[in-house]
Amino acid sequence: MPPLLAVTDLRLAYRAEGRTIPAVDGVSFTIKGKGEALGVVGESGSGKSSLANALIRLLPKNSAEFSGSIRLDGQELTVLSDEQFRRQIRWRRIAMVFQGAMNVLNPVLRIGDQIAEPMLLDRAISKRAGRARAEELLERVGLGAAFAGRYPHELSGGQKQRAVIATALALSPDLLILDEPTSALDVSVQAQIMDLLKGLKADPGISMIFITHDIALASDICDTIAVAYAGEHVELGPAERVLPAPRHPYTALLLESLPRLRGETPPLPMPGSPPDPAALPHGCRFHPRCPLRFEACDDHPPAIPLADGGNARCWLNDPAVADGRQLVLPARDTAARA
Amino acid sequence: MLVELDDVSVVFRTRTGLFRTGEVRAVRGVSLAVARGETLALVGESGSGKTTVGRVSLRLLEPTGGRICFDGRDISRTPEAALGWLRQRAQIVFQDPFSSLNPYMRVGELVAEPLVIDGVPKGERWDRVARALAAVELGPAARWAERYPSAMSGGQRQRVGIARALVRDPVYVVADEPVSMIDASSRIGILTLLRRLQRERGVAFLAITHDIASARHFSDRIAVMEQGRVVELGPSGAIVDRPRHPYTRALIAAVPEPDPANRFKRRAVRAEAAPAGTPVLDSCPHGGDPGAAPVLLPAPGDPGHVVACHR
Ligand SMILES: Nc1ncnc2c1ncn2[C@@H]1O[C@H](COP(=O)(O)OP(=O)(O)OP(=O)(O)O)[C@@H](O)[C@H]1O
Ligand code: SF4
Ligand SMILES: [Mg+2]
Repeated sequence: MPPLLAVTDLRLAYRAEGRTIPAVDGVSFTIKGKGEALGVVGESGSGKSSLANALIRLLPKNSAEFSGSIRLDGQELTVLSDEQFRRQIRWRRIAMVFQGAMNVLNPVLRIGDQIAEPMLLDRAISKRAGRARAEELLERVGLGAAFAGRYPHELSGGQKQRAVIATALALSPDLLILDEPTSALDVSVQAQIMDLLKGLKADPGISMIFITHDIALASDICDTIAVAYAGEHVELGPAERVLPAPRHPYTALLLESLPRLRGETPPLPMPGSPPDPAALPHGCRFHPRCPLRFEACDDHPPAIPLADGGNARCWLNDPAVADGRQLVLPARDTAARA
Repeated sequence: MLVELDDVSVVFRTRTGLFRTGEVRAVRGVSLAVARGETLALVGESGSGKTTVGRVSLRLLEPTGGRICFDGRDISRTPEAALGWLRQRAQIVFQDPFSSLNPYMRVGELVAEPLVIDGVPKGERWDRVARALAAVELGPAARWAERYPSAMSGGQRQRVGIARALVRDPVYVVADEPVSMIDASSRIGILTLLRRLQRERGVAFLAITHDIASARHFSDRIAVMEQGRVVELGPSGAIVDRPRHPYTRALIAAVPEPDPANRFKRRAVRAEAAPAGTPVLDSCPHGGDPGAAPVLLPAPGDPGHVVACHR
């Protein structure tokens, strides 16, 4: 059986002010089947939202290059016309919760009507059936049918985000892309939304692409983690391996920057700043910030396969190049320590 | 103590309809003190009253009840016109880089603005601006001063906001961190910077956050707020390692930890599982009376750690 989603060498570049920005630059991954979640983790500007937009084919007007392969259940999506994609794929098979969506709910439309809207636009369903389905979805996301009659301003942040998730579920998609679904919420409400998503992942077994800048949050739901840096995925692997034993220095530094609940070890800030997307460093894109760079890093590393089926774009994973060098971060001093 | 709040309450009047008005008791009998050079973290969910405590501690609001002292002076009812000295020594940093900076002003102008307001002579200003920019690691100052916030990252804009507060050389800073879109990793950079400033310049911070995990590492003590009340207060390590109050436990359970085993667990814990009146300490004097206002009592065996006697 083909995997639910197989993405190969996906590229999306923008043109802005005469410069080319490779926002998604040769990204590959698979989501095998039902109820599997892939986390895409990385700092601001690393191309996480651009990947999501490419997958659901909502491309900004200044998109310059869009290439590669996206297969859903074996069907190549990139050959579909925009009209075919809209009718067969978007919302029906692949749905999305956009970054900041809870803040752009239509203020004059009742929640129930907003949820029913995609179904009605689709003419798949009568108005009455649409309303019944909206109430069912509101129950499913833990709000209750009574919320159908409320307006967005009557909802708390967490309730709005639940309503947005209900909207995305309207046409029973197989794959749900969630772009920073909890970053505007406080930790307590975030935990409740994560519990809701875990429930949807288990039953009805919705597969997910979960986008976040917080690797700890990604590990709360994702089976596989992809680490985005400057348009590339620099590491990919099962969460059980990536978190305890990262194979890319950037991932290792991300993990060092997490404030741990237990123990006195303080989180350490990420060194340096993200690169200019229109003038990426030559060789390894991470080299200006990498504490482990060596001569080989002048050449751009390929995605080097790892034993667990994942890969990492770092020369330290090629024994012939690494020449005995190990991925061990140097000790750092910090103001938070002492 | 530098800043002392004694049984402070703040009630807001709201309009709930055309003719009806309501009351929101945002802060209910809060007693807190921030020592010189200390970081006290105020943690709790949004709406728990943290920001109101921060604002009232700076007398940006007048308390409805209770007393506020700054450096030994009672400022509870002092009129704004007589608070000029406090405005120089105490500052607030809104850590929302997207809305708090005027996009048409250069960084240099933004950081100099408080000095212009204070009437600092022109000749002195640049030196102080350059020092403030260096303190927030935006160097070389001359280059950064020319830039506009619109061309900067979220983390860089936050640094500009901090430099604006530091340029007055304050002794007390309220750092209000709303839930924000800023990167987890640049956020740690900012928190590390604030910790360094506290250590090197002896600035006292009231750090407002919803994230108890960062509070553990970047503050000396943590005060936990629920519905306008402080329900637990103590050394940061003690609060996180030995929480006594069900609300503190719920906040801790909500922190996502980098452990893939969590994906098979539900994490949200509801503090309400312990209903109002449930004793937290055996020594609760109210015998489970939900009507009695809880009092903070010492947590047995944990020096400096106090907890509300009941919910
Ligand atoms: N329409 C556009 N035109 C030109 N450049 C763009 C456009 N949209 C995004 N970019 C740039 O493309 C790169 C990737 O942006 P993207 O929004 O995908 O990042 P992200 O990882 O989602 O960031 P964040 O965490 O801030 O949401 C960035 O350098 C961004 O500035
Ligand atoms: S390839 Fe070199 S510079 Fe790049 S991450 Fe690996 S060690 Fe660092
Ligand atoms: Mg994004």
